[in-house]
Amino acid sequence: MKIRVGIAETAVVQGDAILEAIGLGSCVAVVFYDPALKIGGMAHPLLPSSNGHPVHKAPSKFMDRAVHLLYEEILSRGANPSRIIAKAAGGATIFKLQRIPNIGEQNVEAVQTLLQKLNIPLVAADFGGSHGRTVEFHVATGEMIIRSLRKGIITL
Amino acid sequence: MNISELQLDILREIVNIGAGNASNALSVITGKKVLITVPGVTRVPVHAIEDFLPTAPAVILHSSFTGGINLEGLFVVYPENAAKLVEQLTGQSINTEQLSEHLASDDEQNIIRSALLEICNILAGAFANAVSEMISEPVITSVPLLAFEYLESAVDAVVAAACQNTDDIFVFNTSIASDDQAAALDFFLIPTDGAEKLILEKV
Repeated sequence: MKIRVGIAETAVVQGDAILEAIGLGSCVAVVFYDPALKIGGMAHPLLPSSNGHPVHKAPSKFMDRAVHLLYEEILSRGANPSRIIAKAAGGATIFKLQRIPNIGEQNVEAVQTLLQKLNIPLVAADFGGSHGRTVEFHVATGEMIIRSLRKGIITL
Repeated sequence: MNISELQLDILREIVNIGAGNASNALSVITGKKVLITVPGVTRVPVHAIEDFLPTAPAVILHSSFTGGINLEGLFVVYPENAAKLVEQLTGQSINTEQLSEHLASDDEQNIIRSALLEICNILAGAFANAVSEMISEPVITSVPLLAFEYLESAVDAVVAAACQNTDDIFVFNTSIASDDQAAALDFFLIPTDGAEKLILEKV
């Protein structure tokens, strides 16, 4: 079973399933995983922080909100906080836009800071560059598979 | 903000005139007769944006429009059409594999890359001129940028900028085509900072 996690969405599943975020540019896909129970969750936020911005129908478009929602969700499904690990990918700069701040870099900084605060180890990550990524997380094995046009396939 | 059907029609017409001017410019450069489709103006929820965009990799040319408006413009040329366009412009025959190799190189002087960036420059300039006349204010285009990517990856940062304060973004789109597809591309425009409201105030 493959579950698409779109922009501003989160999903948590247990067992033999694949979580997928397609076409990440400046967005970051964050995965939380309890390897003992094989519960995995993915968030796909596109903005670093909800600071100063009203939160609308899609709170998970902000990294801070998405990470906390994902954490609460995986705990409510029975994951043990001491076992949870994180993997993440994305945060590219495809175009160096003049008018828009570097959102990819800001997203990467945001996820690193948030994970530190929650004391969740980021065991593997593939950040930055100027290439887009499609990310699959295989919940049964804990593998993150990253595909890109120019860099081929890597497994974390 | 609620935008009425009439206001949507006005926005559509502005894109129509701007893109019409851009397609004329493309016709002049390529010597091809081109057709443009009726432009769409769609309000897309941010989580559904991926479903709305084409999913094949393409040459993506970017230019920002500022001044009287704040629009991010993306011209999307599919590899086979881009190869034909390059051949038309440079006389150099290339296949899609060679095209992607050229575009993967970081060489700023690469002739293929330069030719495509120049197309972006010309199309963006033509669009900006037409819109500027309509709103009676200058419209400035940014230095053109190029990526060979999936559109959804390339558009992430623009979508992020457009949806800081809202969950729905407006996407304007139209397509330009010629008989042999040597002058064929999709054109997407995303207003940032509530630009759709600004435009409506000005016309």
